[in-house]
Amino acid sequence: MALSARLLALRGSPFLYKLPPYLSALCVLVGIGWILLLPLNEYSRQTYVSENAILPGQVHTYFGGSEHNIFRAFRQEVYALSQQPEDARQAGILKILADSGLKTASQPYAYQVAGESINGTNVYGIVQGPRADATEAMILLAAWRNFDDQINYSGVALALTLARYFSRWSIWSKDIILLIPSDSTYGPLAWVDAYHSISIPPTSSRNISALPLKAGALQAAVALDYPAGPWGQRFSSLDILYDGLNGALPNLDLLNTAVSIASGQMGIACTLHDHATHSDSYRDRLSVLASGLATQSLGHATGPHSAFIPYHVDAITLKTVGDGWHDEMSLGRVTESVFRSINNLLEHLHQSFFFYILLNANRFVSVGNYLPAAMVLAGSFTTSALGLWVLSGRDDVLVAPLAGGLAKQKVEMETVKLGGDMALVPKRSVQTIERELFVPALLLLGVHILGYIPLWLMTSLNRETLALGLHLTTAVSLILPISLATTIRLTRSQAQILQSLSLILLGALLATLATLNFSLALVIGLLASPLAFVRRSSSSLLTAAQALSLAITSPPVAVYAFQRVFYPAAGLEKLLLELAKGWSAQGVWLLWVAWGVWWPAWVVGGVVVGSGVMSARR
Amino acid sequence: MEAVTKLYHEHPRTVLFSAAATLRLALPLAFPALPDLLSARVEISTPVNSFKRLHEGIFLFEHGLDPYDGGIFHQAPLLLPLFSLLPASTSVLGRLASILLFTILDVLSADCLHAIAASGTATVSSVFSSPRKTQAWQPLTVAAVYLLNPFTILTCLGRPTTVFTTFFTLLSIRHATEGKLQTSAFALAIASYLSLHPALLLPPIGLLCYDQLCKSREPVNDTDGLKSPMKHASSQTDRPKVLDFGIRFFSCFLLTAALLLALSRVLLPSFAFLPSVYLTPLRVPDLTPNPGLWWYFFIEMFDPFRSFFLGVFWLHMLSYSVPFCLRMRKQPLAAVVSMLGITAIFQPYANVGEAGAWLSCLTLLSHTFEVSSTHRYTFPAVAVLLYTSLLGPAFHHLWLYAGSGNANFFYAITLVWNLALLIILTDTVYSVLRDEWEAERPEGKGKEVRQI
Repeated sequence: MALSARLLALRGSPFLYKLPPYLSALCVLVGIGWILLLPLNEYSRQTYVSENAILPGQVHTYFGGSEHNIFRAFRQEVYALSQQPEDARQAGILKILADSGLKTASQPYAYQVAGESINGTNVYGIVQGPRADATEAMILLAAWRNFDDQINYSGVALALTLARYFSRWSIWSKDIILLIPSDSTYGPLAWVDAYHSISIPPTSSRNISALPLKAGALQAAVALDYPAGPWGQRFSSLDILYDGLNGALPNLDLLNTAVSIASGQMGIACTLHDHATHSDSYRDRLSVLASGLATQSLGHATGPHSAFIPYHVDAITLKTVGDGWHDEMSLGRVTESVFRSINNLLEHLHQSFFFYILLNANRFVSVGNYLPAAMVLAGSFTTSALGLWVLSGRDDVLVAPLAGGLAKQKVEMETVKLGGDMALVPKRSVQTIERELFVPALLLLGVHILGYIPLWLMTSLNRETLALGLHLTTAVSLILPISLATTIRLTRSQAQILQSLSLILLGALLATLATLNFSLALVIGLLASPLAFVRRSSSSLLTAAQALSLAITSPPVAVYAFQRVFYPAAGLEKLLLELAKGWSAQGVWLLWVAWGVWWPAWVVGGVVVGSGVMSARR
Repeated sequence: MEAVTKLYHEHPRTVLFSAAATLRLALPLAFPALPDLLSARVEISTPVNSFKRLHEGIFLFEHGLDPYDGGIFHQAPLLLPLFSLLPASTSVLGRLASILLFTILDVLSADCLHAIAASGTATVSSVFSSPRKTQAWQPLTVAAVYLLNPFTILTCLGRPTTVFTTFFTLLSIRHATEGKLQTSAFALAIASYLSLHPALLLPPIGLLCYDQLCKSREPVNDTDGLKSPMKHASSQTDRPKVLDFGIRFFSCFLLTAALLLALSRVLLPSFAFLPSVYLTPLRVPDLTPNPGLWWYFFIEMFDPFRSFFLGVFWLHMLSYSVPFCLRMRKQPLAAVVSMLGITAIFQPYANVGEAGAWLSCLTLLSHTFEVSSTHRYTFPAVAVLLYTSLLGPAFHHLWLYAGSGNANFFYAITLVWNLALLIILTDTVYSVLRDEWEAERPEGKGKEVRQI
C-alpha cells in the first residue's frame, strides 16, 4: 500500500525524465555481461539425447571387412571419373548407383548472381526401404566438391559404398536418398527447393529443373565431407557443422546422436567450428560460442547441410579434420549407426531443442538462458524511445524549471472558466503541447524506403562494380543525414518524436529478429546501440563527438571493418559478391537487416544529431 | 508542385481518396503475389470471412450445389451472386476487380467516417457539450487515419468479407448521426445479416439516432457549456417518445433482416445456410488460429464444459452493450465506438481488419486524446501493438513452418495483442468519462484520480 502510493507519487517527478538514458545504458551492459556469463557451468548444460526412440550407438555396425575393398575400388573409380569431363562424370556416377540397384535421376540447375553464373547437376538415387511405405526418407549427401572447393574423393566413394551396402539390408523403414550435388551450397539448395515444390518457374536469377523422382517427407540429412585423395588419408577428429540458412538450427538430438556415436561408440573426437583443441576452459567455451554467433549471424550456408534446415529437415555435415588414426571405415560405421538411429524414429525429430548455443560438442546453452541478452538489448531502444516520447510532449520552458527541482518553483496558476463556474488550477498540469507527428512520421517512412536503394545496389550490381557501389553508398550515407537536417528544419519536439518512433521500430524489429536469428539481432543490436544515446545538442563539441561515434558505427563502415578483420585475404570484392550471392540465391536476410532496418535507424540518428547544429546556428 | 498544392487546397477529400485508392491498386500491381499471400494469413482471414472460402462457396453455387454442404463456407448467401459477377479471381483481371471492389468499400467507409466526424456528434449531443470540442481533429484527418492505417490497407488486399460488415456498420452510424431512423436500422440489419455480431450495436446506435432526433427538434442550439435543468424540462416535452422510437427502430431492423433472409432462401435450395452462417460464430466449431481469445481456450477445453463456456464467453460480450448505453448516455457516439471495440476484441473469429477499423474509429473521439495520452498508457499500448504485429507472424512462422516453436508461441502473442487493444479501450472509456466529469467540475482538471 505504502509502496504503491510512493510509486504513484513518483509519477510527476522530474527524476523520471532523466532516467531513460541510464536505463538504456544499463540494458546494453546487462546484454553484454549476460553473454559473457553463458560459458559458466551455472548457465550451460551437458547435452543429452531426449528422444527415446533414437537409441544412439545401441546397434552393432556391420560396415567393414569386404566393404573396405569395395570402398577402395569406388575411390579409384571416383578418381578416374574426376579426370573425365562433366557429362561423363555424371553418367559414371549414375551408372554406379543404378548398378547398386538404386532408382536414379538427375537435376540440372543454374543460378545467375551479380554477373556470375553457377551451373551444376544434382545426381541422386533412392534406396527403397524394404519396410517403408514411401512416406518418409533420409538423405545421405556427398557433394562432388566440398565447401572449400576440393574434390570430395573419399566422401563420394564412401557414400557410394554405403548406398550399395544399405540397399542390401532389410531393416530400413524409411527410404534412403543418396544425393551427389556438383557443389556444396547451390546444388543442395536447388535440390531441396525442387523437392518441396511442384514446379519452380525460372526467374532471371535462377533456373532449376523439377525432380523426376521423389520419395516421402525428409526426416534428416547427413552430409559427408572427406576430401582425401585416391590413396586415402586417415583423420584425427570429426568437425560437425550444423548452421542452417538464416541462423536456423537442426534439432539438437541429431547433433547429440552423431556426437555420442562418434565419440562414445567409435572413439572419434568431435569438434565444432574447427576448434581442434578444446580444453573445456572458459576461454575455449567462449571462443566456440563466439564462432557460433558469427556463423549464425551471417546466416550463409556453412556446408551442404545448410539448405535443408529452412525446410524443417534436420541436417548436419560430418567433416574430417587433421591427421590421425581413424580411417574411412570408422566414418562409414559412424554414418551407418546414425542412419540406424534415424531409422528408429517414429515421428519427426521434435523432442529436443531447436534454439541453442553450443559451447563444445557436449555442452550447450538453452534458449531461456541466452535469449534475454538480445531482448534486453532491444529493450534499451524501447526504453529510450519511451523517454523521448514523454519529453517530446513537454514544453521547453516547462521542462527547464522541472529539471531544476520542484520545491521552490512558483507555480503559475490559470483560471478555468466553464459555464457559470470558475476554478484555479496549476498551469503546468494543464499544459501539454500538441505533438506534431506528421513530418517525423513522413521522414521516417521516407528514410525506410530509401534503404532499399543501397540494398538494390548491393544485390544487383556486377562483380566489378560492387565495391564501387559500396564506396558510393558510404559517401552518400555520410552526407545524407546532414543534408536532410539542413533541408528539413525540425523543431526540438519533432526531432525527439522522430528519434522515438525510429527507436521503437528498431527495438520491435530486433526483438522479432531475436526469435528468428538470435545472433544477428544481438550483433546488430550491439552495433546500433549508440543510436539510443545520441541527442540533439546545441554544443558543437558534443555534436561533433556524437557525429564521430555515429560515423564509426555506420553500416557501410561496419562492412569495411568486417572485411579487414575477418577476411583480410579475400578482398572486399569477394566478400560483397558472397553477400550478394547469399541474398539472391540462398535467400539470406542479412543484407535486408543491414540496409532495411539498421541503415534507416542510423540515418535518423544522424538527422537528430545534425538538427542540433541547425538549432545552434539559429 | 504549385498545381498539386492548389488542387489539394481546393479538393482535399478527392486528393486523399484518390491517393488511398491508388496506393491500394498500385501495391498488387507492384507485388502480384501480395494479395494471395495476405488472403492466406490467419490474422486477416478467419473461417467466417476468408476470401478463399468464399471462392469455394461460389464454385459450389455456380455449379448448382448447396454452397453450405461442404462445411467450409460460412458467409452470408447474398455475397455469392455479388461475387459471381466478378471475373474469376485466379486471373490477373479478376484479382484486380476484387481489389477494386474492396478499395471502393474502403473509400466509402472513409467517407462515412468523414461525415460522422463532420457532424460533430462526438463532442456535442443533445444533453452534453464537451469542454474540449475545439480539440477534435479535422474530419479529413479522421478519414486519412482510416485510409492510411496499415491494418486497413493489408485487410483491403487480403479481401475478407468483414470489410462489408465494417462498411455497413459505419454507414449505419452515419445515418444515425443524421437522425435517419429507417436507413440507420436498415444498414445495421445488413451488417448483422453479414456477420451477426453488429446486432450488439443495436442499443448504442439506437441511442445515438434517438439523441440526434432530440437534437434536431431543439430550436436553440446551445453549445456553451452545460444546459440548465430548466431548459431540459422545457425541451423534454417535444422529445420523441422513447418507446415509440424504440419500437420503430427495432421493427425496421427486424423487417430488413427478415427480408434479407427471405431473399437468401430464394437464392438457395434450403434453409441450410441459417445454421452454417449464424451458428458458426455462436458455437465456434472451427478452431483455426486467429488473433482472438477463443480458439486456444476452446482447443484446450474438455467437451463437457464446452457449451457452458461458450455461454459464458457470449454472455460476457453481450453484457457490455446496454451498460455502455446507460453510462455514456450523454455521449452516445462514444458508446458506439466502445462497443465496436468490444466486438473487435472479444468476437470468436477476431481479425486484424476489424481491430484496425476500430482503432481508426477511435479518432472520432480525438478530442479526448489529450486526457488519455497524458494520464493513461496510450503510447506504451500502441508500442505493444507494433511489437505484437511483428512478433505475431514471426511466431506463427516458427510454429507452423520452421517447426521450432509451438502453438503457445502464437497464442502468447495474441494474448498480448488483445491486452494492448483492451488497454486502449479502457483508456478511451476513461478519457470519455473524465471529459464528461470535467465538464461538470472544471476545478478537477489535470488532477490525479484517487480512490477515496
